Formats: sequence, structure tokens, C-alpha cells
Amino acid sequence: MLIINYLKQCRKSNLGFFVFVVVVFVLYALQLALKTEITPLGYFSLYSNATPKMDAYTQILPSAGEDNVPVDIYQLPGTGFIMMEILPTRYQILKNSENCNQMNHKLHRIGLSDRNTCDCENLKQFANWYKVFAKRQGIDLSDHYKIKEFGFLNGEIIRIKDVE
Amino acid sequence: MLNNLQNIWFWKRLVLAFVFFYFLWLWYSGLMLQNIYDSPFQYKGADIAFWLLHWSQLPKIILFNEASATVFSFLLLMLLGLSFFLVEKRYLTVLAGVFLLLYQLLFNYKLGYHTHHLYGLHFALLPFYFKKENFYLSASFARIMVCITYFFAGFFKLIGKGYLSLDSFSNTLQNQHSAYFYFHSDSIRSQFAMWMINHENMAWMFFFMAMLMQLSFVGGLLSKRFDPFLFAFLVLFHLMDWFLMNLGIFMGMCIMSYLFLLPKSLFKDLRV
Repeated sequence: MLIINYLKQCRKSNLGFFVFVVVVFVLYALQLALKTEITPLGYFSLYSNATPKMDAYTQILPSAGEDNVPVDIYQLPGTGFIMMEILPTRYQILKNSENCNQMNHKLHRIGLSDRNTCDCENLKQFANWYKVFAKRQGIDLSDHYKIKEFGFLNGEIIRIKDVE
Repeated sequence: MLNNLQNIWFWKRLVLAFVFFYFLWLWYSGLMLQNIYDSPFQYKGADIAFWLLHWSQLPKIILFNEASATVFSFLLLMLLGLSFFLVEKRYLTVLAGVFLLLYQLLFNYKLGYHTHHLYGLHFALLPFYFKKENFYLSASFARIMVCITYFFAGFFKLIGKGYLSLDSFSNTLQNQHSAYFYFHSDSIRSQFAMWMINHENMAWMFFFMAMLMQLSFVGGLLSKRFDPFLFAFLVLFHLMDWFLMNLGIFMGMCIMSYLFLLPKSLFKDLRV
């Protein structure tokens, strides 16, 4: 078996490198066992669970003003739209997490805890900062812009909800 | 005919060139630190690497203002460029790797989300961080890590049981493109995704094939015989990730597919 032979060969030829390999494997094994991230070079397990059918599929987007018209973030060059998508979604998730750390429950599981309060305090600036960020990316949001949760189905807006 | 050492430098230059151009693409897309340096997020999650970064005070220094973040981005690109031209200077590649890791950590820290779209670049560069005498060991290790990572991505899909629900992937596509359909309903991507949504069986089959592709990376842990297939699977997986799921940010991962293309002759004199 290739991986076993590799480890044997590694141990025989370069002990230092063998130790490095073992440390990386142990980190990955710990990550799997503890079911939490402990290395930024982690696995990705997106879309593992079934996605249920919904009445509307939501996307948090900036709205142009009073008219509840979402801003087309897909006009941005390259893959820039992804930040415009992720940032308000993460704002909503983190704001509603214990101490604004979505992984606090996982920290509890290994006997640790994030008790900081400044992360939540900083998040209060999000709406103002997002406008500055959008301008930097090439989208000029009006002073009356709002971050809203739009519910879509087959390319049509079904419902709109304000994001606090 | 190139000797083995020249061959290694060829592969190293090829990888560095791809990484360099991938970063130009990120820069063009507005995904550099100077775009996000002042965000109100400082997300550490449960990842010790991010806590260490936070405690080190490095974010406060590198992301002090727009100028310092821009200088960091320039330095990263410069190090990648210098490693390309001074291919024998290993320390430059290691330094570029450290800057790449810092960029990844700082970007995720300020994005408020630990996205893994850059670890493919780390695996791709890993063989060149070590002495050339260790190239066989390090390239084999990087290849094994790629196999483990993709296999587990498939394994989590298997135990997540998403594939047991026939309409799951159709719903995933609806969810993924919910706003995109609204703005760009006529695009080829929208039309193809919509066709998939309306043909649940096809969408299910597509998802199941992707899971099988990922699971097949276990073969790479047993033998090198399947390497041409694994190379094709990896590239195909990320191409479809981009086209069907609009996740072009993961395209940089394709760079590490070269690990399945390295000829055996390359290791002839280096194999220990």
C-alpha cells in the first residue's frame, strides 16, 4: 500500500521530514476527532447534508433605497461578488452567535470558551463600513441603503426582510 | 534533454507562474487585504492558527491602514515573482509561502469566515519548500495530502447522506443561484442550472458523480496507477464548481493537480 510504504521510506531516509509528516497527520486526525478546525489547511465538506425544498431561497443583499430593489453585485469584476455575498451573511450569523463567535459551542466541547465582548462591539459598525467597502469595490450605495434578506424563487423576489 | 534538477526547476516555475497569475486574478476581483483591511470582523472561530495570529498582534501591524495592507500584497506578489526568477533560492519560496499563509489567515480573519480556497496553493508549493534532495519525499507527501483532503470531502458527503434525497442538489442549485437568477436569468450558467433544477434526476446524478469522484481519491493512497484519472477528476471537479456553482474562487486549487502529473523519471536520481 502506497501510503504505508511511503511512511516506512520516509522514516528510513529522513527522520526530520518523517516527524514533520507525522505532526501534520496528527493535526488532521485531531481535527477529525474533535470535529473542529485546528488548521487553516483543513478539509472542505460543503454541501454534505441534504438541502430541503423551500418556499423561497434567501440571499442577503444591499438594497438600493426605499424601493426594496436589490443591488446587482454580480456586475463586479472577476469573483468580487463573493465578498459582497459573504460579508452581510457572516454579519448576520456572527451577530447572532454567542460572543459573536460562531464556533463557541465547539470551543466549549474542548473545554475552552471565547468570552470577548469587543467582537460584538465592533460589529455595530458593520452597516457603515459595508457602504465604504462597496464603494471601494465599485458599487456606490446611497445613504438610504439597507441590508435586506431577499427571498427568491426561480428568479423572482417572493419576500423581503430587514436585517437589523 | 533536461536533467532532473532542471526538470524540478521547470515544475517549480510552472507552479509559481500559476500562483502569481491567480493572485493577479484575486487582485482584479478585489480580494486582496487592502480591500478588507478595515472590516469590523476579527473572526477566530475555533481554529488555533487564527487565535495565535490574533494574539501575535500581527493583524494590527499589517492591516494598520490601506497603505500597509497594499505594501503587504505587493510584497507577496514580489516574492512569488522573485522565486520564479531566482528559482534555486529556496528561502525566497519559503518566504513567499509564509506570506501566502499570512494572507490567507488575515483575509479570513477580516472576512469573518474561514474559507479554504487557498490551501490548494499551499499543497502545490509545499514540495519546493524543502531541499531538492527531499523533493521525492515532499512531492509525494503533498500528493498524499491532496488525496486525503478530496477523499474526506467525498466521505463527508457520504455520511452526510445528502445523496439520499433526490431533490437535494436541485434545491442546492436554487439556493446557490437564488439572486443570480434574478439578475442574470438569460446567462448560460443560469440556463444550465435551471435545466438541472427542472431535471432532479440529472441533478442528483451530477451530485452523486461528484461524490464518487472525490471518494475515488482513496485510490491515490493505494497506488500511483490512477494518477492521470485523479488529475482529470480534480480539474473537472473545479471547472464544474465554477460553471455550475459559480464558485470560481476555488479554481486556484487546480494548480495542485500537477502533483498527479510528475513523471517517475523526475525522481530517478533523487529517490532516496
